[in-house]
Amino acid sequence: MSSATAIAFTIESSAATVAIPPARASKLGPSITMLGTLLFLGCGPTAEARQISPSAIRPPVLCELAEMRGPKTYKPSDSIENSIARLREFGKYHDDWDGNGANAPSQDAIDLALQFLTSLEPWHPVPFATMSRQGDPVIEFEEHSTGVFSSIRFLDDRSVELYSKANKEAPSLFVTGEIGSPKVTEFLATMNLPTL
Amino acid sequence: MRCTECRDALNRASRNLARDIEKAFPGCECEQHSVGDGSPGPIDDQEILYRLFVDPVDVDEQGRLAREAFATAYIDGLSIIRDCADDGDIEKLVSDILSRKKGEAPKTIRAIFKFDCLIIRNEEAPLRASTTRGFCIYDQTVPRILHPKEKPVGTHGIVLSRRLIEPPMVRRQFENDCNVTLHRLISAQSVAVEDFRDGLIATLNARSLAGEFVRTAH
Repeated sequence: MSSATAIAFTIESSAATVAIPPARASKLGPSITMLGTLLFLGCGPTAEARQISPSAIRPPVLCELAEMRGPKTYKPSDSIENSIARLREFGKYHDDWDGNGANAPSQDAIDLALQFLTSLEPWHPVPFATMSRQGDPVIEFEEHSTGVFSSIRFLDDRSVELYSKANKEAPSLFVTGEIGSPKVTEFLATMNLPTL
Repeated sequence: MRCTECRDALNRASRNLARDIEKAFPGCECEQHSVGDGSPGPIDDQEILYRLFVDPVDVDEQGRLAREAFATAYIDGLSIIRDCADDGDIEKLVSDILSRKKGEAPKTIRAIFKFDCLIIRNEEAPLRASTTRGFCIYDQTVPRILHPKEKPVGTHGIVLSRRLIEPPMVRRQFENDCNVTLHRLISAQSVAVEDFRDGLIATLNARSLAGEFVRTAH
């Protein structure tokens, strides 16, 4: 699987490139495997269809991605629901919500963060929604099994700041850019998160 | 002379206190001086300190604490309370923390963390291919909020990041590192709100919910 190889990307304001350690890149493995399993199970023939015409059922590999991204038929995890509820509440905050001059959030940034939360699946790291004093919604992720901490800060111009730190000793990684840009997409993948 | 300069600098209301102090008094120089109004003296390495969290943004209903909750350490200082504070001091400090404008929802202390001063002072940050202290702790005091004419509470203090940002690291990456480090150091030992000083803060929370600690216009 190509995702298991080291991926290089550029850190903001720096000419240096940072290679994602193979150990971290390999974390992509389980999610890809699970996605493959879901593709297989979710798109296979129903019992009824199998009785009518077994040969007419398209093979699992032809299942469209849109079907995978359709409405979820299962309940999101408590952490996701909790984070969505928290962000909705923070979205009502006005300037000086902390009594110390904090800024109110922009609705666009809140909406973007909510959209991201709804794209999370059970196999993604557990989210925790918070907000900066500048009014930027922030989603923090902590993987207790590995100790990896990551966060996404949503800015009001459809850009994000991505941060990740594998452990106490490891240097942190940081990228900022517009959602959908190659460096943001690549970094989200290394964080084992959906790419929006 | 240097002591007076430290006091003046640390008692200046500034949104860039961390940056200004590191620029004027690098290497935590002011730690050796008592800078707070009414302070019993500089904070000793062996002292036990507390950090309280009040905003729902910082702590959720399950007690999960955000890294972002430590952001003030690299801006104007992360407020702390010294263990040598008596109950009267705690009540004054917490009343100010719980204070709110008229019409705002009551606040409550949602989480308390206990830590040793030394673990913060011992924390090293990378600098020029070596390491150096990453944080300073001062016995800074702050003006009272509910009773502005009263003297500051002497047993207040602050943690300040030294803001040692060295390329290729960028400012926001450094600030995230700072949040993660302080979260690791400070959140290690949680104290149940009900257990702190025989329920002192739980009682103050109840008073807040009952409608107390509303600021009057001054």
